[in-house]
Amino acid sequence: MNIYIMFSLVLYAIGIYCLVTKRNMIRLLLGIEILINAANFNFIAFSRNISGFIDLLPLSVVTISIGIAASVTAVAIVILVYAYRHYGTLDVRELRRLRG
Amino acid sequence: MMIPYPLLQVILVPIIVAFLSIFLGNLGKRLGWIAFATLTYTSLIMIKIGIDLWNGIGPYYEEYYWSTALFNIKFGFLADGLSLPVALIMNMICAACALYSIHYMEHRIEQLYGEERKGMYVVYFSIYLLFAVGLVGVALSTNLAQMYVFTELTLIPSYIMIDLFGYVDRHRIAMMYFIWNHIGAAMFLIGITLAYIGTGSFEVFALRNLIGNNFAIWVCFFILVGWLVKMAVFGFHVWLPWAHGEHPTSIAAIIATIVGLGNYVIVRLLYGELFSVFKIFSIPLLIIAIITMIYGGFLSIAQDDMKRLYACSTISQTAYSILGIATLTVMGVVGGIFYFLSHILGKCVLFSVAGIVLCQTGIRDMRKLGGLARKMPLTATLCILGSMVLSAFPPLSGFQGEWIMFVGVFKEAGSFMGLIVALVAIFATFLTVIYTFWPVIRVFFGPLPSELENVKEAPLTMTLPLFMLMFISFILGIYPESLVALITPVIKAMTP
Amino acid sequence: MIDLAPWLCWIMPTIGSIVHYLLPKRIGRKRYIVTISFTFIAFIMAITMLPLLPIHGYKEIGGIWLSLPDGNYVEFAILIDNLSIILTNLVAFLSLLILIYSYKYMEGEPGEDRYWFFMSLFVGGMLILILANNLIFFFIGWKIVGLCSFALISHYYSDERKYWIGGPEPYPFQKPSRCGLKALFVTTLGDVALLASIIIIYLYSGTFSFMKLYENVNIWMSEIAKTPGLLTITILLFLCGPFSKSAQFPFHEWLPEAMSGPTPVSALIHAATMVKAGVYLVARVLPIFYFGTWILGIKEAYNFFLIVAIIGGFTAFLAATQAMVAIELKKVLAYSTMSVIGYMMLGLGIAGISSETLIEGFTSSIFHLINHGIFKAALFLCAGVLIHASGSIYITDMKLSPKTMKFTWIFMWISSLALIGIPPLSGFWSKEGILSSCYISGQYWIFILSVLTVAVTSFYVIRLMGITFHSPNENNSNKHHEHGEASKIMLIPYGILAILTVIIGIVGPWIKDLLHEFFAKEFYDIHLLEFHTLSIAHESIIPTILSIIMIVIGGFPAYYVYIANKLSSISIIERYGILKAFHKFLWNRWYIDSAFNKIFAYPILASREPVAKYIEAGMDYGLNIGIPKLFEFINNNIRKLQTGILSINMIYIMIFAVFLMFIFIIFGVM
Repeated sequence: MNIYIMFSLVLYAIGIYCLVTKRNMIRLLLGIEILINAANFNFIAFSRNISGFIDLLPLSVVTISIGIAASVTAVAIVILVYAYRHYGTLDVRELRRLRG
Repeated sequence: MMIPYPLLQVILVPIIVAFLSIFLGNLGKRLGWIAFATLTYTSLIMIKIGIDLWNGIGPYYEEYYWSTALFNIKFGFLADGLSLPVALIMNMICAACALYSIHYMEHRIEQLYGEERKGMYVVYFSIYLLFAVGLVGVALSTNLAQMYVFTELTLIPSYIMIDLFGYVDRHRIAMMYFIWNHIGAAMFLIGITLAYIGTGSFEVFALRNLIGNNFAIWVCFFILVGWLVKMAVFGFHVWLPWAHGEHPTSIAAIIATIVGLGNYVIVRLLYGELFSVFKIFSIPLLIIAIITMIYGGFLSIAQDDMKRLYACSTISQTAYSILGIATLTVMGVVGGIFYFLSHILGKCVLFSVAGIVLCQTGIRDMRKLGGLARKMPLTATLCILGSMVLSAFPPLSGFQGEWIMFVGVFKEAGSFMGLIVALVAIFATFLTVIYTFWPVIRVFFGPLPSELENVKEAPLTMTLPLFMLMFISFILGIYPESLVALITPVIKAMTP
Repeated sequence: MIDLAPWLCWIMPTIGSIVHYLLPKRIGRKRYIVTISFTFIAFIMAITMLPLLPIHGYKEIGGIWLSLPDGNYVEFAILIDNLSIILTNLVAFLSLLILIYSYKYMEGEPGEDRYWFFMSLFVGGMLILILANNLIFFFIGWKIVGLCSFALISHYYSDERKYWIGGPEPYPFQKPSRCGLKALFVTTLGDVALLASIIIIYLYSGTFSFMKLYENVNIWMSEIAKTPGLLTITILLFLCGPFSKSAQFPFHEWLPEAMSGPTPVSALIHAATMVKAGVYLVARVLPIFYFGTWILGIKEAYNFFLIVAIIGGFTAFLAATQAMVAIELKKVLAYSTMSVIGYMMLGLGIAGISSETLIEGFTSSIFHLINHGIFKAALFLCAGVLIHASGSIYITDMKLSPKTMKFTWIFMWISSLALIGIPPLSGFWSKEGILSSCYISGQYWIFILSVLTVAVTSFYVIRLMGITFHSPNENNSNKHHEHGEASKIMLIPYGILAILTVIIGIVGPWIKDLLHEFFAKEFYDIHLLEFHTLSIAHESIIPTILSIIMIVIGGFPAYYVYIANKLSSISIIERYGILKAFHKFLWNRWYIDSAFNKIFAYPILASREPVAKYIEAGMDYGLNIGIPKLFEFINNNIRKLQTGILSINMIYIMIFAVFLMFIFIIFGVM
């Protein structure tokens, strides 16, 4: 089980790294996707606690989570598109109008 | 004749009148007469109680239940030999200043807001009545939470007054005044809360159960420092020249009284209840008091602006009373309270004189004034009388307070160093003579500059109440027994 | 009735001070006659106390005024003994005459209502001071007269040019309001020290009352003496009060400036009464310290007498030399007052220095006080007439002729000769008594100093009379003022005083013996002081002869220069450089005034700016502006943390996650 958890940690780190360093909004979105996948994978890894027995609860949670991830991505892309049309650029550092 | 619920009336009547006067906006400046009448009525009630006390009818205690739900707080008033004279004199000063402010505020509101804003009179006078409630409430209350409420009730109206009617840079100064005094009040609140945790009750008399608890020293510390901030001792005095220089002069006496109120609270709470703990603070308090006296004296000599000078002198004079209390002797404390009362009488007159000069001539800078005694003889007399009170000249009351207090100070001076300290303190009183009488000759004596040719004497509504206050001071001066006999038994009972 | 008299004595003038405000203004100046009548009642009351003198007792009338918390009490009571009866009569008599004089003098002067208020209050305060039976009541009177003195000196408060006193051009002038303030400050300084020492004495003795202090002196003085140095400090502080009120060194600088008030003020306050208050206080407490020194054997109490005598003798000399060069009329008289009071202090000090001279010194001092009050008041009243007549305050400008002001001339000469101490006028007996007690006590240095002062005194007095009345009449024709003799209302008071001087002079020795008897019995009975009466062999004729020689030595040059006008003083001074330097030294009042200005006045005035600018503004900036700025600084920097940038926020999240991980690993939660 540990190796699966470690794999999800690696995915998590990749996701964070992507969010930290990338400027392009679509790349950020993909980073968020990777993060969500890391969380899902973590859940699935926990379903394999006891050998010979698969816990079904995490699997159902993951199913719902994939659905939510899809909707989140859809909404995010819509916001992205509008932001692109408004600012003319996909650079997230340009979105500063609310900054005090 | 028995007046029903006298002490409650003293507190409630001004509040009710303040509330009702909101609807009487049309009266304009005549609201001042209503305020004066209210405060005179409450003074008369308190005089009646005072006469009862003098004849030996015991301390007057009233008690109402405020909240039994969670805290079991009682709302109580105690008029004994210590609290009644303090409350009475403070109330009489408020009454006199109400009369004084009728003409003054007319001038000021006209200056600031123009003719049509009669509503500002309502604001002024209704809030003015809250002052009296707050001051008298602190003096009479028996419950710490109640005392805190009344303390804030003196603070918030004064903030409003300075903000609305003050002089130069008033918004900033009002905010500064509020923050400083609120820090003091907040420390007081911390002390109260600690006391509650220690004893389980908010009553003043329950504080003595704290002794032996190691909370006691923290309670003492917080209450003391909180009130010292409000009393503007040396390190914490920076707000006072500004706030007391730029406020509308008609509430000058009241703000000065708020500064001195700390003396009463320290005597009632710390000296009365936590004596053995308060002893630890005696020597630092003595040193701070002397530094403040001397520094306040030099600072006052350095001023050229009339109002700021009297403001700085408040720093020095309040320190006298702190000195008296810090000696922990009965004579010292009695003298300290006596001097505090005589100081607020004299300071009211002096500030009001400065206000009259400002109102009539429009000039505050003493370098441009001179020779006004010819045009304003009554005002000049009042200024000399007020200076006499502060400089401890008989037959006014300052003399009695001062020598009684200094007997206490010298008694405490055990060693040679103590003697030096006491001598320094008594020479600081010499500085008082300098900074009170020098403005008299700068403003009132000397030749009259040509710009001031048309100055007229102030109307009687401004000068008459001040003469009444000086008359009270005169009575205290020639018959000090009237005050000392009331205060002494209480203080003696407090001292182990 | 007798019991009521002393109370009425001081209450009447105090009430009388406001009476003229209550009378309708239509009556005009006659209101002031009512005020004077209150003082007259006081005088009558004082006379009714005279029969008590031979009784040699004391009486206290009054009750408890203020009970102090520690069980003692302060009384509101009158003490009548020989000293207070004598002084009450003197004060009431002089006040009455001077008030009558000023009725005419103040005609047409501005602010008369205020003048009469303060004068009457002053008389009341002075009587309180003399009649009080305890130190607090005494101190109340003391302060009241100080306040009235301030108000009356600055009577001409609008500082018009004609009221300025001071040197003629190019020397600086002083304005009346400033002079009043100076008097107030210097006397308050003494008052504060006096109050401190009163409190110290109270703490050791538990009482303020004079009589109780006498009775218990063995208890409390031994108590104080246990702490070495404390008694000396108490004595020093105590003496600051009388020295400042009576204008002795080093508190003497206010008196010359106090002459800016109207002349009756100078006469009443600064010659006849207020400056005597200090002498009265020293005389009052003298038996206490005498008891302490000679009977209890406490060495430190001896310092009391030493200080009084030395300062008294020194001031006498100091002031007399300054009077030699002064050219304002009232300034000469002021210096002479200081000098004579120095003599009185000297006498009181000598009274205790050796146990033989107690009666002689004390009696001569009090006798000199009485005499000085009479003739100095007369001199000042004459001075008022002269100033009015000639319109100038400088004696060099006066150029009056004895012929037109005959009575004034005679009376002024009588008073001046009494001042010098020429027999058989009154001043001779008392001054000679002081000098001989000084000689007998063996303090030769002080004796020499005081004898020299006699010479100087006679010099300046004759100089004064010479320049005023006998200056060469070069421009006799253009007298700028047509002046005649003074009006009767002004003339009679000082006439009475001058004649009284002569009468007292003639019966001098008998009066002196009478006073001897009064005080000797009083000291013996009440204060239980043992002293040695003078054996006849001790009485010496040397002081008398010396003083007469000195009078001649001082007087003859003065006569030569000023009256006979054989030499011109100015040319003498110009010729000898040393005389010029000497003149300058004396003119600048031995540079003491400027020294005090530099040490005390300038530093306080100079401290105004640094205190306000550096200390106060610094603290103000630090706390009122600094703390908000600190918060602003912190604010601005923390705000920078909140970037809107996603990357940075993610880094925060990551850091927090790492931090959490560490905590979990270290604390083993998982």
